[in-house]
Amino acid sequence: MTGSVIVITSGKGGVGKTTTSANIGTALAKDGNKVVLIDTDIGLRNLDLLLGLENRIVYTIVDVVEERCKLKQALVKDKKNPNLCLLAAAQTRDKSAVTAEQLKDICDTLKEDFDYILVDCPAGIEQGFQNAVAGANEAIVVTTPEMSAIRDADRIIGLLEAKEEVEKYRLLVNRVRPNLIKTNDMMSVEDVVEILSCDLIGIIPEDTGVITSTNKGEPIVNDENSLAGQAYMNVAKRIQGEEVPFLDIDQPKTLVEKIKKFFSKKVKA
Amino acid sequence: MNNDLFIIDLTGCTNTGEIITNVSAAFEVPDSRERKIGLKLSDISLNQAQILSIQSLIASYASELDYIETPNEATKNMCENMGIKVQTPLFVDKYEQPNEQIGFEIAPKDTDSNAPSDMQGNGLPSDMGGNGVSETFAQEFSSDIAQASEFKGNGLPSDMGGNGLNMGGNGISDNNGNGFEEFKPIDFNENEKQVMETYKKAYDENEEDKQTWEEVDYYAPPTDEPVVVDSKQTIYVTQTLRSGQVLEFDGNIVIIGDCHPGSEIKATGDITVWGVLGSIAHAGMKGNRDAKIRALKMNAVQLRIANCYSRRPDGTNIPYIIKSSVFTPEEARIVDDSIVLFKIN
Repeated sequence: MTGSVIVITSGKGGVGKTTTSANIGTALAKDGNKVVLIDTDIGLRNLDLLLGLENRIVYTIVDVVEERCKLKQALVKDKKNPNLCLLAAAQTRDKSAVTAEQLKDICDTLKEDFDYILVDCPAGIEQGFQNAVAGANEAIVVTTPEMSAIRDADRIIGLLEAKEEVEKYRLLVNRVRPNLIKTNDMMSVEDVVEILSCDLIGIIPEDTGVITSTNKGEPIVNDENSLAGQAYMNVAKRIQGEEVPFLDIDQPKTLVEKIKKFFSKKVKA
Repeated sequence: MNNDLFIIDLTGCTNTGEIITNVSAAFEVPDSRERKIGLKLSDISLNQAQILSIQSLIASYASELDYIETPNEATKNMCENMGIKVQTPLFVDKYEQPNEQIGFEIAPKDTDSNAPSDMQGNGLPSDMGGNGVSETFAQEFSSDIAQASEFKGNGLPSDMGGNGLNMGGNGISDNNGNGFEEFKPIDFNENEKQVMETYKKAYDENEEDKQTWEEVDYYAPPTDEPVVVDSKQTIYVTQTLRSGQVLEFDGNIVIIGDCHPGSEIKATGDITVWGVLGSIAHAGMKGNRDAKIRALKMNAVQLRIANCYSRRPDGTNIPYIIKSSVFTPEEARIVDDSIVLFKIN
């Protein structure tokens, strides 16, 4: 078995890399794939919190690298889905504790047993980024429809293009707010794609449920009613090679909006 | 002669040599001299000569042996023959009324307050230089180490133990149920009620993993390594331990402050936190299974004592954000290979 190593990166902090990693990982595992999530944000780890696995971590990636345990001992199994594993980062060290070669070795070893290896990249373009990208053959660039995030994403795409191992990279636009796009207060997804001239892999709407799910330690894809959860499920489908139409994120919330939308569709038809 | 009783807890001692050592250590504290002394013993049988030698040791410090408390019948009879007062310790059945609201497995109060004794025995720092402190930490906490050596002269450690850990028994046990209602875990299924798993249980749970991914064990016990006798040093840290900080010490650790999640405390001896313990705590690192972890509020992500491992129940990651005004002092120790929490009253 040769799994694919996908790095989830953004350049800018706070755009939702970790949330995306947790949700895509869970979604892929729900579809029956064997998935391992690697947190490379050593010193500022969060992925374990989002998955609710904080209390289960005994060994971390630094212990693996420094040979205090075997790689398989450090994999923490998810509470609900046995197909999903987490390789946590150490909280008490910093990015220099692991080198790019060591991370590449870990990814290569895991490739044999898992279908997908998702690497959660830290913010920035320093050592942490270089480590995370080392073993990857695919990348997902997360951005939000804001100028600062887009500029950082552009820089990241430039760095990814320079890496020969990264065969393809795709764009995920996070925290999209259709209401603001309508009133021209926010860039539309089309604009973002045009600026970055990059393939799109998903559009995730802004969803307050993400905050609650983060605090609970349960990824939002487990909530089937959530729009963001559905969007992440679709991203997972596209990663597996299925062609899924982009979700209509402009879902009406109130009854009046629903009626309006119903009639506007009729007129168009 | 001061008429107040000075009680020396020797329940941890297994032979006469240890008793003599601990009694003479207790007399290092000036307060203990010229007093009436009460001795708490474990279930060991003492003969007339041994009791006499303890009695004469106490007399050499201008004190007087007032009573001996022991569950052992032979020792009791011997004491009665010698005209020494005898008391029987009050043991409460430890496995009744588990408090499920907290999620941790809790036995009712432990009348045998052996917490102070440990402080007396180990809390007398002979060399407080902070030799065993890890380097990074030594810099950050250098001021505290200096403070610690100040304590040495005043004999404060023993006072801390005697008064400190025993206080707060009043309102706290009554409030216990109420204070925790808001912290009820969200998805509290049956499995999670058995919270404080041992290493062994955690291993069994992963039997199925073994078939798929060969060996998955969480925490390998240091079985081959010899048990190292703890050093008697104690470090005092008067600072909040924040995420990412590691406090490692060859001896006992006392933290006056909170321990935030993401930090780690590792000691070869006991760990005492005068605040909220929300991090990983590993006592008896080198295999001392008698080590204990105490905190005013126990909310640790993981508790490890020697080679035993236990974790917080799922769905309780929210409480650590709320720093409770209700403190429920608890002590963790190993009972039959699993870590169990006891209320300190």
